[in-house]
Amino acid sequence: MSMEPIVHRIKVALDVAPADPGLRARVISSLPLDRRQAHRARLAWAGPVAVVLAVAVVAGLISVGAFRARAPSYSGTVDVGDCRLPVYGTAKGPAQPGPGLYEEGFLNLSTGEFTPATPPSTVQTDQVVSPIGWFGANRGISYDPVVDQWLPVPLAWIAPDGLSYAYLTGSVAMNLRLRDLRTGSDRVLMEYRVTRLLGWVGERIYYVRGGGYEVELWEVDPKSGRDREVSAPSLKEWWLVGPGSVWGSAWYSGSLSRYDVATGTTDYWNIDRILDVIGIDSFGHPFVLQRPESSGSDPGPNEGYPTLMLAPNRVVTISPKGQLLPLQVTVIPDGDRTWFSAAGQRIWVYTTDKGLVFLDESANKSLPDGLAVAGGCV
Amino acid sequence: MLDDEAGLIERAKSGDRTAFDALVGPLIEPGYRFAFGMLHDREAAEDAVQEAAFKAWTRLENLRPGSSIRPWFFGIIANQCRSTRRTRWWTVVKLEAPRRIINSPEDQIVRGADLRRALRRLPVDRLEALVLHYYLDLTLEEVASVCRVPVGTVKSRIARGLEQLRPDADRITEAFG
Repeated sequence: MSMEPIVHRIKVALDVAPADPGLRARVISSLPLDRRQAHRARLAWAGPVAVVLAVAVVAGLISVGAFRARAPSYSGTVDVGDCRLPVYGTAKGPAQPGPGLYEEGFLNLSTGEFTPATPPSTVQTDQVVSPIGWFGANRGISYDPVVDQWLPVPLAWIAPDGLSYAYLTGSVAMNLRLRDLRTGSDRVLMEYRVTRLLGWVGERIYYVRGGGYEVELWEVDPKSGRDREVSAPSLKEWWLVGPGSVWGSAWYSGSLSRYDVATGTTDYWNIDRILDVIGIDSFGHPFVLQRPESSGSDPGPNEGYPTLMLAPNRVVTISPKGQLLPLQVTVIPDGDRTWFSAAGQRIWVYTTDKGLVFLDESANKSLPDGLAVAGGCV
Repeated sequence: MLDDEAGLIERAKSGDRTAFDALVGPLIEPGYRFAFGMLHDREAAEDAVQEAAFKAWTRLENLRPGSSIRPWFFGIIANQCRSTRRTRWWTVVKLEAPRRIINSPEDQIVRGADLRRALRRLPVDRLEALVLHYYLDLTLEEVASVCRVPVGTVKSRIARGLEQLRPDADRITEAFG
């Protein structure tokens, strides 16, 4: 890729919130007339205020244990049982693997064998738009056990009853469509309005309209077709859905936004050194990647330490060995387990008592690398 | 540095706010853009510029003779943004009022959201160099002056920042062409 397109995109990406025309006048008029006196006055206050603040902050952090990513004492491996894990990998044809062509099947955790789906399934992911897959290994392929079908969408786009799925068509202001898996019928829910489809929470579908400085979170009831804006336009970006909530980021380091669909309120979960939110567990807790402590100059390019947020200021480290995870990781909640997979890497499994461990170590089997998890174990 | 600028600096140091306005006023808008590029938050960016202007006004003596005001002022904004990024969690979250949708081209909005997300992941020194050089069009020498590092370090930070952005930019290209 040449430099010009990305430089242009940086400009476009940042040029979303023009300065208030009155900013200059406001700034200059707010300056004190006597500049030396103002500096001395501020310095005089700075010492005592800093001491008071420091004491308050330390006391507060001690009392709530904020931002301390505590590592529970993990040991051993996860009992993975003998279920079959839906996975997919790049399809290998007689020549080169086709772009966007994947082969699906099941990984038998008791034998370690990969069994291709029957009948053979190769989902072509470019048939639908899966923008949520840009940043994850999951290109938008999921296994729906209710209808025993492989679907070309992320897991969150499949209805909780497993009988239909939402998807997008179009290129920019996209159409939101709903496909019924029992009848095969297909209908348009929204036309030319959707910039990002997040997925289902309960019986409603959540999506994003607008962008830049004016990101809006919307919900639609697929039964009635009625939709409504649930979060005022803002710079918050919304990225993921989880049980009872929609998750986003409040735009720069420091917090996640959580929209509670039951109460209609948004709260903020603070976490130090946040790199990104990568998924939500079955209980509604976000998995977050954190920068290494010494991230100032040369951290790993696109990886971080995985942590789980149990409450707005309560974080636990989930990796017993302190290993890093790539940003392009797919997180699949599956009851009290969560599966992590990334392109070209081994599969991880997380439980609260064992932490994040390699699946092949827990299964005590040599498993193929580079498979992405497409759903919960069946 | 222009002779006019030197004269204005001297007048500002003696307490002439009009002279300070002539010096720093034109830098408020680009300073805001720089702060927004660093913080991705309108109010925080405005606050950073306001605080930087206050510091510049009250600490003009720190500006070395012969130095230009622009890199010095941007350097103050850079420090302010770093400080804000470190302490943001402490800030009380303000309620957002509904605003009018800006008529930006929608495809740019969609791509921009994800590139901003990728930018936000960059280490602050790389983000700073990219924003100053590519968004504010500062020369490498000016960026080096703002960041107080050698030009070679600026080049390295920009190269590493672009390298880090590339996978995400490629994915967006793949998705939208």
